[in-house]
Amino acid sequence: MLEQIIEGLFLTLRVDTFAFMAIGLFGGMLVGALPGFTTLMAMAILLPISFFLDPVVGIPFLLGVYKGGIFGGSIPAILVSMPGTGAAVATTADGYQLTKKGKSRKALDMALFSSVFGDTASDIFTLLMIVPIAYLVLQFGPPEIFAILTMSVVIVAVTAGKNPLKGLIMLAFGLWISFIGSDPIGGMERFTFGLFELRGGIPLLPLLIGLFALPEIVKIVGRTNVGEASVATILGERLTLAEFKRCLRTICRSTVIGTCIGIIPGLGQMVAAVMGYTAAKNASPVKENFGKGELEGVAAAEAANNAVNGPTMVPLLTLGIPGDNVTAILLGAFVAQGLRPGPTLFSEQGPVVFGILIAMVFANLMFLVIGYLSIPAFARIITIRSNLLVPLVTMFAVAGAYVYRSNPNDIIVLAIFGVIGIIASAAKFEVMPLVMGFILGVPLERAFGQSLSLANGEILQFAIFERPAMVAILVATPFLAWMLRKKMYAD
Amino acid sequence: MVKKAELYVTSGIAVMSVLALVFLNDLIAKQKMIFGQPSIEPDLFPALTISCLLLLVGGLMVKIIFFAETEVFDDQDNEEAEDQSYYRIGSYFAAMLAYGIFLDDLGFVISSCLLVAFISFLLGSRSFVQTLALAVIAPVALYVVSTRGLKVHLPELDVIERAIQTVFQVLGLS
Repeated sequence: MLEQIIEGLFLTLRVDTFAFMAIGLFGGMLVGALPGFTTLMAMAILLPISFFLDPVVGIPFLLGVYKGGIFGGSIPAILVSMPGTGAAVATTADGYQLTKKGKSRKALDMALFSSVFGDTASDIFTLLMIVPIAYLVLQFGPPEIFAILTMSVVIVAVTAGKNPLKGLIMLAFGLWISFIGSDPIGGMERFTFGLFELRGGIPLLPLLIGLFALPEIVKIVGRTNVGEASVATILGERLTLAEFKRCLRTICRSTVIGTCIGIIPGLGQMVAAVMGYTAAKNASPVKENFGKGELEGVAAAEAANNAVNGPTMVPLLTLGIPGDNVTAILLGAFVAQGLRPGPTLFSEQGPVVFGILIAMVFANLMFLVIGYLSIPAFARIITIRSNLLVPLVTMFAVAGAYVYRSNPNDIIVLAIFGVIGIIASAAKFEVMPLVMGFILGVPLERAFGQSLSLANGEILQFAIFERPAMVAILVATPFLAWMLRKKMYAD
Repeated sequence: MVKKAELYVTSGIAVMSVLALVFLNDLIAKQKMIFGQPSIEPDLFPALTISCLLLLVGGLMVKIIFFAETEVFDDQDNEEAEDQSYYRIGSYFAAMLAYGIFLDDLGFVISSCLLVAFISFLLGSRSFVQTLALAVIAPVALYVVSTRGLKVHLPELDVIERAIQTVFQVLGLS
């Protein structure tokens, strides 16, 4: 393992890796800072760029967008009480109050330092834990894999929105879409309606851009104040070392919370931020100051939401399960690069994967420097009008869907999934379970088929006496999903 | 508004599911028995999934029709959704589809120029110079970065490709 880590380190130490990571961080902060433009949208649109770069350049570039975007979202949350991303919702509570008191610079500095701390600590945890977890996963057979995949998709579906039924419907719909093409075991055609173009299945990239980016763009297009801009100013002194030290305990607590939440598929940054904030408030001797401009509130939310970033890679790389919508996009990047996530990934492509994980740690250090120097510039970006940006974003989205296969049909697929995303949004259905169902449909069906083969017709006997772990996971799934849902909505 | 949309969506999925289950044999090719009995028929997992989907949709429809008061939606969201400019959204999608259709024939630069200019105008930009600058610079920059930097193929007319090539030669960059 140590050899692979060292080899990965040398693979990462390239000028182009650092240059593209810096571009990604800058781009992510830019998009995150623009209210209405989400990190998810940016990642979906920039995903095709990563296909044409080396894996140790392209994937760190996307990770840069991700990390930069999560922090970028806190800039408008603090300055104009308008969270740039969902993850920054908890930051708004105290961040904007600090701005009203003329301490916006302190709040932004605290957001940056706690983000970098949380992110770096969780990335190091990921780097150390991922191989033992992958080794454990290697001991699993198809029945256990089937049970774990089922548990993951059910948790994501049930926790995706207010109504668990809607999440489960979208999950089943996503599975159905994954059936289009050839079946993974016998290679027989399914739901192709005789169309040659559908034999290879629905392409992932236009589906992701269509479902994640187009509905967001259309929301901006539909707004009446599209040409208006917000006013943002940075005031006050910088954060002092004493203030940072005072919040260090809170930052560490939030980092642990965010790291634990990151490993569980489906919960994501917003839940981590809210839970980190609530825990900090409960532990504080000055509870009453929370929500009125308490620096600890900003630190708690930001450390927690950024600590999710690293651990989401654990289920992604060891089992191929994307923990949230951003990692679903990262999965697309891995697959396009010929890196098929799963327990064997480390034996087949160990140095490359470690190179990517090490790049995540370097990205945090770059993020600290770029963020510290460029906060004032990003504060001005909030004032850029959407009517200048939407045309460019649209051009990127459509060209991005086209370039991967140079197939004009992909633009039609993009538009179809864009419409599905818009309809889902109008009827308050979350699209994440659909994407999870689509991505995990093939491995789920393969594991299901292999498990049936192993059972040799004696399904119950096989499950209870030979595969008790599978039964335990399947039985625990509804209870775990219910508990997580309860916890999520209680906070 | 949301309740109606929910009902339409669930009804649509229900109809699709019923049709899929009825015509499943026609929609899925039969397994060929070349290497003996397959471990799983190609229609088994889809049939299970679509049946579950139908049950879930049925449950949601019952909930929407009979227990609608349990669903609490944000009124502000409804108002926002109703206030959305359908004209702008429709025009936006029409422009995007036209872009997809004419991309091969007009080439990337010209079709992107037209798309960017149209959307800028649609979103209220009335500065001719600003719109023109955005519509020309952005597609050309993206084309050059994609084809020269990332070595990606984008459809382009020979005339424009030659013009860009000439500019590169003059600048000594080719």
